[in-house]
Amino acid sequence: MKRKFRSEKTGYLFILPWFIGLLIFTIGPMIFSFILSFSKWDIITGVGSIQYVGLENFVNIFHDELFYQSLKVTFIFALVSVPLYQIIAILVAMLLNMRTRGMKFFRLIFFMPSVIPAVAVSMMWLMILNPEYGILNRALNLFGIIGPAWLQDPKYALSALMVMGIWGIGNTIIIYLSGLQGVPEDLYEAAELDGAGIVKSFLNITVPMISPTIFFNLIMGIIGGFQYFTQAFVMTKGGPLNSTLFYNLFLYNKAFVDYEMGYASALSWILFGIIMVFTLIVIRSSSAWVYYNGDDERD
Amino acid sequence: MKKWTLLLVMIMMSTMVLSACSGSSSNNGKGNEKKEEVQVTPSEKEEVVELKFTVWGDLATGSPEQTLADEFNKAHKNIQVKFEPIPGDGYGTKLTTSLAAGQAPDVFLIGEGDFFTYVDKGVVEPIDSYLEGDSSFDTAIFQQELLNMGRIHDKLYYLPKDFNPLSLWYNKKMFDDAGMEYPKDDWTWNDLNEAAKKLTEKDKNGKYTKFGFNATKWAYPVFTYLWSNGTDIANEDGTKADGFMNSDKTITAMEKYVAMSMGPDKVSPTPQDAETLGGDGSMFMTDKLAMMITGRWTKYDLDRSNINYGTSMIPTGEDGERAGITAAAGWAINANGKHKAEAYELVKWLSGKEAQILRSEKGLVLPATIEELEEVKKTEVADQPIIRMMDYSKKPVNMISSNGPIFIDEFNKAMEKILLNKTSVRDALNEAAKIVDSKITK
Amino acid sequence: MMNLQMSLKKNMGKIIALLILIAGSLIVLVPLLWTVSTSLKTPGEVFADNFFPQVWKWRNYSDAINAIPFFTFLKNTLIILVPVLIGTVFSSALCAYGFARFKFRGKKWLFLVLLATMMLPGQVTMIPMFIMFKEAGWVDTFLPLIIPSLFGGGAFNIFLIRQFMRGIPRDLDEAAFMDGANRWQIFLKVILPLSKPPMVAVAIFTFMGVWNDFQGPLIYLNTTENYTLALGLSMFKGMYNIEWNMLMAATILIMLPVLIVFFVAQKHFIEGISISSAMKG
Repeated sequence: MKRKFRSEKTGYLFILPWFIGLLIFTIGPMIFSFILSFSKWDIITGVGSIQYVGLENFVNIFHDELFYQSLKVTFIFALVSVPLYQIIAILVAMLLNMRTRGMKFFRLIFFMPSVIPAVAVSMMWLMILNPEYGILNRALNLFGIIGPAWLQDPKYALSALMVMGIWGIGNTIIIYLSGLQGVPEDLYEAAELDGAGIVKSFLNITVPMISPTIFFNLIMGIIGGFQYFTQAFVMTKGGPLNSTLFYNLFLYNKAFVDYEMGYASALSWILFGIIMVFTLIVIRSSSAWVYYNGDDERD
Repeated sequence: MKKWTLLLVMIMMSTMVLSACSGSSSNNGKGNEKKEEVQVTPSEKEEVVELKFTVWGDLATGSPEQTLADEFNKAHKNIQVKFEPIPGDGYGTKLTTSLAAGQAPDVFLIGEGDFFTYVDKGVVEPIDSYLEGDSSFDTAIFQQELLNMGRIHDKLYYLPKDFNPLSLWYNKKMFDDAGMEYPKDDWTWNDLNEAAKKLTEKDKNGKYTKFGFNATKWAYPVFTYLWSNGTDIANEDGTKADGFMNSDKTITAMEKYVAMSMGPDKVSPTPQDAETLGGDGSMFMTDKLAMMITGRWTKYDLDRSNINYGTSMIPTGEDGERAGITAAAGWAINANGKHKAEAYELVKWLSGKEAQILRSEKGLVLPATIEELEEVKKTEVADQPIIRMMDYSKKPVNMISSNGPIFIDEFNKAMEKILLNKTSVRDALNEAAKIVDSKITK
Repeated sequence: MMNLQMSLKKNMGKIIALLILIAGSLIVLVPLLWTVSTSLKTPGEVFADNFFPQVWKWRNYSDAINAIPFFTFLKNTLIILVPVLIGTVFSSALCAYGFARFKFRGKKWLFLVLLATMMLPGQVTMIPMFIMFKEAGWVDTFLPLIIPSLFGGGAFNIFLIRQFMRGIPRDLDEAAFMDGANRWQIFLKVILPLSKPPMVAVAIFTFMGVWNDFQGPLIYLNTTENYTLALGLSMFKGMYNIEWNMLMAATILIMLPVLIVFFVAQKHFIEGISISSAMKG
């Protein structure tokens, strides 16, 4: 016997704070940057020097070799690291979910890396990845492997950054942990009684029950992955040979080094489009695999 | 253009609404928009002009800039200045952002690499007209080569703050251990190479434990090397790369240079190795590097470690030609500032005699004025060659032409490819020259 | 028989899991150890071969605190932190509830807009936002760093909480509605208490975000007296050189509060509330 709630207006009320904030703080700058993508502006001369140039920025972008390079780097990074990080995060979260004594400390340890300011992390890893003296290669040497010159080798630099990223997925792990907490114990008990093994109960109980969390982390991973910036900025500046020229880094250089804000704005809206497409794909597919315990609504 | 301004104005209007609603809250922080307080008394009108100036880094307590600001304020009743340093990492971002919003300080510091760009964009005010009317201040007190760095298209834009010429630094212990004589002023690059070979050591596994010299990929030392060999990466006014960046002279010179870190007679770490070892400075301080060419800023770290070091002039080319290069910072007056005459007073103060003495007291920087420099030369042995290198200082292409960054960019890329062994010196430089010329617009 | 086998299996599983965790922890900890050891070294030792310092210079820590106006920066950071924390947690839960529980026209589109606000790189919106706040006269105040968080607290947080809320069975809402509660009361008495896990997560992330925020304070704060801790860190990067050991000491100091908060807050979202027990009650 379900009563239908009189929904409409109250719903608007609840999201009103966000909506007002959107109008005041977000929409204005977004429109400004949209207009800028059709203009030429060298920033330091002030707003008076903004010049309309129509589609010139976009034309130049599509002829720019570095644009395609940065797309390639960013795509490879995002498409490999996003699923990889999710899988590792879920597995670690499950381990950390065990009700054993001392788990508190393990959780703290795995969370710690994400607390460190990105700049300090980058410095640390510069040392670790040093081909001669860094501990990564020294450790590999113990197994008889001669590690490559990670950040200096165009073939390996990107992989090095991906590996470094695994170290910092503490945030994602925490979110999965929090999601795992919402899975009712009795479901597992019932499955055990039915004789289900670890894998079966994982696939049939855990995954569906945390699918809303997976949905979240997947989308955030995509949004974040495509906008990867800080570590590349601090550690490699896009090198060697542009093998780590992430899209956002390319964009930043155009804006703050070449003083071409219009070009950079155009780049940002292209990125926007790309991220939006991927996000929509995930959203559309979500009705097939995301299960909300609370309602039947589809995203 | 008009309809875009209109759109922008509309956006600005909506923020005006916001500001109208929050007018009272603008007093929450330390509001330091430029204000003029006008106190009208029956007999005279007094205006107090407030100025802001900024530098990068230098946030530690007891900074000389803060002292200078305080003294300026005491000496000038009608101009009050506020010193607002910006964290080093964020200087570019913040200065750019505040210039964009018309919110930039009245006086700001600029590094020599950006001298030209900022003038080109019209962000810096020329000082000549102010100097002409001012009999109390004579620019002859400055090292003229240094002052020259601030001169662009025959107008003076920057007054010097301090400067860092590049010179040759050597690790005395490593030389002593090898029983070798210290570098001499009449050394050529060949002499340097020969000495470096004797100072480079390998262990029994073939791994290098000591290097004689750091043949860095940083452009500045490379420029001095090319110049002393009578060549350059660009023509005189920075409009052509072909025939210069890829001239036979340049190619031969670069082949020799690169051989120092890659050839069979390796004496230098590859740039990649040096970078990850914390740079030449750290290698130098831990007795792994015998010689390096770098700026005087390294002295700060060297003096705080146990190392016994010396300085010498940068070697000459085969025919005795010597060239140097200097990193410097200059004070600029914001061309869009509202109180430029007062800003000029501040700039004079910040670069003048008293300022130079105060800053160089602790030996951290070299004073830009001739007299004070002579004093330093008498007491600091290590500084003598460094100061003399100033006489040979030349301007790199990015200080001469707005195309400068393109030259340097492509040259750096070529260097990277060469040092990663992806291409020969000849091919890399030819390609770079072609790309540069195709991108030049002026 | 069955039971013995099963409990052996369970224990084996646990042991293997623990081993993996220990291995993982070691990998995670080594870089951290390096940071700590660097913070205790002398400047000359920073890039030397020895992993551990020869002499443990604990003085670096007190020097780091004294070299910069540490407590002023701390105060400033807290002034920003407290309103942002409260504002974010509360307003994001509010908005999440709206998206999670209501059907209204345009909701799917608005949700998409919510996500879209995260898709534009900050570099390009930074300058227009700055111009906007400058026109409002908010530069060199804490306002640009506080006010926006009161309006929904960020798309990330709203999205996170919304996901969780959608996992709470509607029957609970129904039951409360039967008892005469209105939407607001359902929010306060039913949904909010059950949403502790994501809300605590949001609180932790917000804490971290404000604590470590460099870009925001850099752009909006001018006078040194207004600086936050994150900006203070950069003071160890002088005009011409970096003081690595002090920088690392300061980094560790700044990391500690966040770690403590996490450690303490853990139990609020880990040993959390079981939804099923709520249903029975």
